[in-house]
Amino acid sequence: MSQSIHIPSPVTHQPGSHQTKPHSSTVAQEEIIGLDRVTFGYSRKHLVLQDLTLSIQRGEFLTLLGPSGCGKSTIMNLIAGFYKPLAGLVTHGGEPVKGPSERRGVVFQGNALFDWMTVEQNVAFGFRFQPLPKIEKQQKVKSIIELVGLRGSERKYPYQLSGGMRQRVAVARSMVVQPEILLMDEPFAAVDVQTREGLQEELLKLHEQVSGAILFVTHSIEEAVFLSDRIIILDRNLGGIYDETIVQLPAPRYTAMNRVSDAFNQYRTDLYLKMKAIG
Amino acid sequence: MQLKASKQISADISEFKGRDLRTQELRERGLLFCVGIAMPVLILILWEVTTRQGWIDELFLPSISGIVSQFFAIAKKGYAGTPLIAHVLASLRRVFTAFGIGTVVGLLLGLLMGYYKYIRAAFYVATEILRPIPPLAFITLFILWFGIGEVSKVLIILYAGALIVMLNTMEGVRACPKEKILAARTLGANDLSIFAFVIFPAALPNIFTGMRVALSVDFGILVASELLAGDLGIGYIIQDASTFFNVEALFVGILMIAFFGVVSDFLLRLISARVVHWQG
Repeated sequence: MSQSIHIPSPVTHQPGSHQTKPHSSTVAQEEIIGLDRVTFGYSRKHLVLQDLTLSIQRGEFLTLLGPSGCGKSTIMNLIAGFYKPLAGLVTHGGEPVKGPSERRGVVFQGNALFDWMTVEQNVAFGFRFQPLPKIEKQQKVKSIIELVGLRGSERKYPYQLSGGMRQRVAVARSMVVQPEILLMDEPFAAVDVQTREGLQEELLKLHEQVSGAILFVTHSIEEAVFLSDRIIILDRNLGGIYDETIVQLPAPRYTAMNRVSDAFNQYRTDLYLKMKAIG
Repeated sequence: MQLKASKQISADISEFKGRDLRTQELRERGLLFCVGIAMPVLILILWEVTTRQGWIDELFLPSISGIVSQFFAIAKKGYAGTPLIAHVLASLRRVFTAFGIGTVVGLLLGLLMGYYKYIRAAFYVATEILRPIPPLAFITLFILWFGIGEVSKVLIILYAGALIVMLNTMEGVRACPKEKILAARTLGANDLSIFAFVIFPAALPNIFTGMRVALSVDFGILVASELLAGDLGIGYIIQDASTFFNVEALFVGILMIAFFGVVSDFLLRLISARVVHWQG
């Protein structure tokens, strides 16, 4: 399969649905993260990615979709700075990525909260290392805790919360320091479907409020369509880009209607067939 | 059909068979508690009866009442010319000095070995060789090196405890989920902050486990080290009483060690539950 770029195939024709998020093709784009012909493997003989070129725009919600083992998580780890490419370059705002940085947030699948800290202390953790006035920090922590629906749980410890609540804390903790990009590697994979939908809606609301881009990895086509501005399907073979879809659903994106609309189903079918094609 | 209050409904069910799960659970817990209490009481009664009746020679097993009166006698007159409290304090001072210093040493070494691969590699062979050797095997060697006084006693206890705390701390550090460390790093934490805010607290449950094991081992080494030399301490009472076949005094010594061991472990457990409240 060659690397092919598709411009959105299913187009929405609903009245009053012309509103899309500003970072679709209509607005001048600015690259925040760039992968330039990146090659990576745990050894030189077993490559996971080869010559991958990828660009993430400021403020966009980009989702990587693809079969297991296609290198989705590897791309995350490269951008986060946990891995170094064997060849090629990963850049952030034009500068090469040299290691983890607070300008690139990461939300893990789970297990990443500090069990010995309260919700409030967890969320405020990143502020320990930032020279901001104390009052400003407190206000930001307070407002994001409210935004993710954790008010009243500030003094609780992670073990006193449900799985969904814990992921809310993790998202809030990464977002409160306003990274330019937030990397989310299947963050909602471990929670039940109902909770998951709630988390997705909150994430979209947060994304509206906090300006950074989001790079999301998931197995779920529905999740990808509901959340993303742009979806990239990675090929099974060495993580090439198999397909790119721009999603245009009516704003506000987080409404439940967007899960059942014809446009949504069209995208879903389309992506499903593409996924099927690569096996 | 009319709706009924649930109480009424349950009253209407005449052929209720058996108890609900909650009641069963409570009853079982109560029963288990009773068995746990009844068994030792039974043993004590059996002990007292058999010894009082003379079915068992007092030389092998003195009666409980005999042990108790011997305890009060020692408490009153002292043992071997030294007040009981002096024996007790000498032992406790040895064990807690060694435990305290040993914990700090073991903790620091364990943190370093857990975090830095190269330090771990450097000490790997040494720890793997020392780990299976019972510390008691070193007692005479320690006496040879550090003299027969306090220093060798404290050092052998310290060594035994420090090794245990070190190994447990190291495991705790290594068991810290990678995600937590990476999360801290992406939030701007440097090495020192990660150590202080993430790795150390993550290892605390293991550290406390290590401390509890170390403390119980320390009491064992204490008695052994006091058996060997000196004229002060609970171990000395045990040793001296054995030589003179004063079995009642021997039991007083043994039971005092048991008492302080149990109490100190209980206190350590309380502290542990407080500090690592997020565990279990």
